[in-house]
Amino acid sequence: MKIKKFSIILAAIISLATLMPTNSFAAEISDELYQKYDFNSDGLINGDDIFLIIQRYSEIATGNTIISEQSIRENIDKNADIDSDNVINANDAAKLSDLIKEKNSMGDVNCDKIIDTRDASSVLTYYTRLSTEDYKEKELSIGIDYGVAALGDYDKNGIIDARDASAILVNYASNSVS
Amino acid sequence: MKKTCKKIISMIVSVYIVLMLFVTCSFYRAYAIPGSDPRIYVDIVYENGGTIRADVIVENMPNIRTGAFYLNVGAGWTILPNNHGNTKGLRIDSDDTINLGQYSIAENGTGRFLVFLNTDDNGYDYNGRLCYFHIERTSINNPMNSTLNCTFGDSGGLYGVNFVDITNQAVNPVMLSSYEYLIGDADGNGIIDARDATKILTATTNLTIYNVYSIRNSYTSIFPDAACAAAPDGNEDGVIDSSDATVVMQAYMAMSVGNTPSSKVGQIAIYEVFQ
Repeated sequence: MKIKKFSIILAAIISLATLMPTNSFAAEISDELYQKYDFNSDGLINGDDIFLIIQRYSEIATGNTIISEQSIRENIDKNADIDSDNVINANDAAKLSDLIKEKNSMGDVNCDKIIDTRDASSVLTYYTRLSTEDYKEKELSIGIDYGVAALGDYDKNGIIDARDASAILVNYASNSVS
Repeated sequence: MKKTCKKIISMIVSVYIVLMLFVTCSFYRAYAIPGSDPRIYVDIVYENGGTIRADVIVENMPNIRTGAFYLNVGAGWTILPNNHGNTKGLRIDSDDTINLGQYSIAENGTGRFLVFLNTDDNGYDYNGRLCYFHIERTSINNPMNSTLNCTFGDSGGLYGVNFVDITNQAVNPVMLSSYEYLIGDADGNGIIDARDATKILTATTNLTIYNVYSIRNSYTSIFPDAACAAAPDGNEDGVIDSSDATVVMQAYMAMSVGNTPSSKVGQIAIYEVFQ
């Protein structure tokens, strides 16, 4: 009877272990490959690069020119098929958003590896604009919005608001004096 | 001991199979389409004050994270700039619309292409109005070019739920009446012949051109016996002119010798008068 119970427990553990995912998507992406997602070559892989994929997708779909620099367009065409399905579309933007979230700390919305006043300012600007009734109609998303949407929830309460900006500032201040 | 080992192995195999079945069913449940088919379409609303609103509606969608849609606008409509002068015309009410997340909109001729992306891994529940546009009729508006059609983006447009088939739906304004007629039958006798061409030529002397939409309520003063204003419009270009007489004659000649006309003259069509 004991052996039977032991067998069931052992079987369950082994079976579950085989079902557990062993690697995240980010872990599958080498640093060298990740660096290729800096489409605008500004040294940072952040919301601007997500936005560029969205813009390129719109270009492909409509045939209109949206991205002004040809070198950026070529860079995207060469490297932005992140999910390897041979098309550049919003899925690749979503994948890059995932990668950015995994590779950067919450609060570092511009992904420069430093959480400082610039991040707080971006979060606050984003929140203020979202709070404005007609913000979305005035002009459409900008790159930093994607970064804030991905990494701006500093207090991890599910909402990006002034409290996140405040918490980032407090953290920056305490780190600065310590 | 050997027996015990066998028991352990068989237990492992059976528990594994049960777990695999459970996991498979869980995935199925996660991506199953609830209720009726998912769809995206345009709903036209006549607002107080005479403005016409085109709502982009999504129904029966599971949670999705990113996607794109095309709003194809017929030549009979034009999208008006929004309150901020943006010619793309996108309008969003924060009170009653779905959270689009981050998005970008591009113009494609008269149409619009909108891509949206949520950074929330779980996606949002897309059921309801995504956004809306104000539209107005163009000078060449007629029932044939007054359609608005909305389709989800190309393959892979829906993150994680690529197999969901989004049905396309053309939506017309509120219809007041409809008429069945023969294309090109200007005298309304149910036969296409030279008399129809003569009627059209007589009405269009001095290079007179009639807009089908414009004469939709007064056509009987020009074509007293026609079934509707669109009947004499043999080439279905929205206007009645001498070229329609030519098309009708060509069709009559083709039919006389047993051939099928190259145009649609002689075919049954429906003419709808809209609000």
